[in-house]
Amino acid sequence: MIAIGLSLLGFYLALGFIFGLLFAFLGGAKRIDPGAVEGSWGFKVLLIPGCMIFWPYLLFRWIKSSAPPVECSRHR
Amino acid sequence: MSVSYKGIGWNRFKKRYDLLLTAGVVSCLVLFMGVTMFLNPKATLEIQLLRATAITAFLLLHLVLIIGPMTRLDKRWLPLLYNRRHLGVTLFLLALIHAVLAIIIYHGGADINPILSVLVTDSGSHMGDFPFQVFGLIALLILFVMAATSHDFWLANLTAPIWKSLHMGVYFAYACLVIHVAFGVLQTETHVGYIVLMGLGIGLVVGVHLMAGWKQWCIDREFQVETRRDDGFIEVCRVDQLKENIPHGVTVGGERVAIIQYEGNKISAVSGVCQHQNGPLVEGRFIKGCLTCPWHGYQYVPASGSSPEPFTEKIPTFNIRVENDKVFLNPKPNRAGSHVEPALI
Repeated sequence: MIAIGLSLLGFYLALGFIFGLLFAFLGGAKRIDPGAVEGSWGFKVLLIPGCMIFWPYLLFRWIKSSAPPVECSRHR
Repeated sequence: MSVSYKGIGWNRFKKRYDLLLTAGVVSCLVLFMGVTMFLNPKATLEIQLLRATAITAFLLLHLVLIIGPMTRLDKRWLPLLYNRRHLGVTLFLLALIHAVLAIIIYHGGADINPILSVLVTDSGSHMGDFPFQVFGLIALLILFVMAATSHDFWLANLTAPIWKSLHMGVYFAYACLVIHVAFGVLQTETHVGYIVLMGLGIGLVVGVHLMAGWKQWCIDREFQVETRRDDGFIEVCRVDQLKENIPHGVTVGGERVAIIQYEGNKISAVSGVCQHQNGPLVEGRFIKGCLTCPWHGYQYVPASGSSPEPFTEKIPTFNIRVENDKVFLNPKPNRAGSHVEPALI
């Protein structure tokens, strides 16, 4: 059971890594965030680890081309 | 503040900060490797490095944890807060090196996947049956999530409340690491000095958090204002309580509002919470025409709650008026970035 969970986690992170490369270097980031349009090369590299975790959320937003979410609090 | 993202927004201060950080980490590693070699001459280089990275990372985690509350208690800690994320990433890298070494040394020869071996056995650790390594692994995963999302891109795209909640995981990671150390190395290194040091570390982290919380509670209670007039405005302070260019914090309906007197006779009110990382804008200063957050220097024009061009950050403004040397505020916030004519005194 633990071995299966570990394999699934590895598979998820590996998919996220591949997604991260595409997202950072093939226009996904700038599609969903205007601040990333002229993002530097270093910025794109730094995006990849986070993409490994949040890639389903980013994929959804990339498909929808949705802008950064508006913060929902009493101060916004 | 930036218009387009960069890997790292280098400036002279950040370079000096990172230089000092690197020097500190290298010094700690050399020192603790030397100490390990002195106390246990038979220890291999791998074991020395394993222990040195562990101790350095654990010390760095204590520093990371106390910076926030210490800035509340003493403003001289603010420079450390400014670039805290680099401390966090360095901490993760040290923890990663420690974990890789531990897996190679204690699980490299296992018949199964070495990472799986960490989860199902304590092979080679000689530390008893308690799965202390699992707690170390959990802490490492939390530190990875925090390091991976430390860039402002994630702050903007996850929103500050979610991002902050995610990064609050550092306290859970700390608890896991205390267990990892207590049921791991402290089972073999039984000298009372180690236990005392560990207790002092925990006491320091808990103590400064309690002190900072108490201080904030006292401030919130002092500035709590609730008496509402028929027109919806509430009296928040007297004019003579305001100091030019220094925000006066009030708590309205449980939320912090910054009232600022600037350019001689103007008074404006904006949210006391910075859009970037929800920093304490109410503890900032009026610098070059803008209210400036003490944490990372994000700036807002008091009358509009907007960052100066070309920046795009916005915070809510509040309607404000002055009557009989008293300042009145409508507690209902205006939409972020809405211009409100300053009250004049």
